[in-house]
Amino acid sequence: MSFVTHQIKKRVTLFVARSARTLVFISAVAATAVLSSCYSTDTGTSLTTETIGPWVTWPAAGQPGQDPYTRVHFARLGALPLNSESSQVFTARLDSDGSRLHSSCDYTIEGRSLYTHWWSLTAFDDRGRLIANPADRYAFNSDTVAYTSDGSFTISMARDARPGNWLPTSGAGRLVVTFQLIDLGIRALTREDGALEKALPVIKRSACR
Amino acid sequence: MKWLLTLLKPDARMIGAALCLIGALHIMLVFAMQSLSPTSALTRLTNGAKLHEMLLLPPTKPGAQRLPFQSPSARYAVCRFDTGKTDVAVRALLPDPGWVLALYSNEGENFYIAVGQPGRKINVALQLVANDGRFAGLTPQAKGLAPPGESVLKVPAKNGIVVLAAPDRGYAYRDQMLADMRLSSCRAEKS
Repeated sequence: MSFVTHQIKKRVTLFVARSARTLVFISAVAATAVLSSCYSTDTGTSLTTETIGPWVTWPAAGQPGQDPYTRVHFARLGALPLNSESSQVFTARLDSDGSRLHSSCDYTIEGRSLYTHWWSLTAFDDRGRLIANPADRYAFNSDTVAYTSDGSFTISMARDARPGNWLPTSGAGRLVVTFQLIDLGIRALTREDGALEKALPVIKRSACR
Repeated sequence: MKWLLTLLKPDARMIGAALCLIGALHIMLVFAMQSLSPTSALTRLTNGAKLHEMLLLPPTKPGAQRLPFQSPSARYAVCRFDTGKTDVAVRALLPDPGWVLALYSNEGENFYIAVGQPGRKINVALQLVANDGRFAGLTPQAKGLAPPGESVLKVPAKNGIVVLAAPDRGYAYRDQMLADMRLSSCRAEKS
């Protein structure tokens, strides 16, 4: 009798061990697949995105025949990008030193005029919503920003009013800044000759509360 | 992690199978994600727009934003088109840099784009024709008539939207910008 009980116990233990092994295997495979697909469509990888300093862009955005990761990224985001052959949108979630952009800090964004492209710079909260403010100011573009005499510009991104180009960020929490370039058909900005790096503004943190 | 390795007792066969399964599942999930995505950007952008009619959208402001990360630096006009039964004529003036005329398929592909350039006004006149191989009648030249002033664009999608974006250059230019935007049109034409 004890031999039979022992056999049954052994088989049950073996069955439980095998089931647990299969379950853990399936769970590990499923979790890895879900996480990798979410990461590659949300954040992107070096195959689908290009990173220049704090700025990230999806080079195939909007193009017919774009890769599935880019297509899913913008479908999930709910955005409608222009064809990246004529327009590129760069997104920054970090400052130029690699710290997370946050409305509790003040930033200066320094750039220079571009005769080859029309540009627009906008501050959003981390869900892509505009930040409400009494000044009704949400963005600057190449027509509305005040340049200095040498053709450069400085935008102050801060909670409280600043002289010059002030972009209010009051109470937004984590910030996302987008910089859109629209090609005017004069000259393409490429990474090879460093023109693209020079065209993108530098985001410097000046103070935090 | 050690308990997992003890439990799984991984061997080369198991690791190979896991990698293949992860790869297959990853690809399936990426393709499935698009169809599972919430209401598409096109639906939200064209909410309230009639077929073959240009609709000027209100300024992009907090609480009145149609799309996430939508630039408030421009005013937008949109038009839904369907080339399934008729051709569609699209006309727009792009007077300055920053003006953009873009055509999207329902899948969100921007298959046509025209941008304003410095120093010249660009008049865009397009006739959208479905790229389905159907006979669209004789060309005006074949009928002995003068060629039309518009470009015939065979669109890769029967349905889609036209987006006209006009940059906001400030209060002083706003009336002129709106007047230029109202010159744009989008209407059905008999093929």
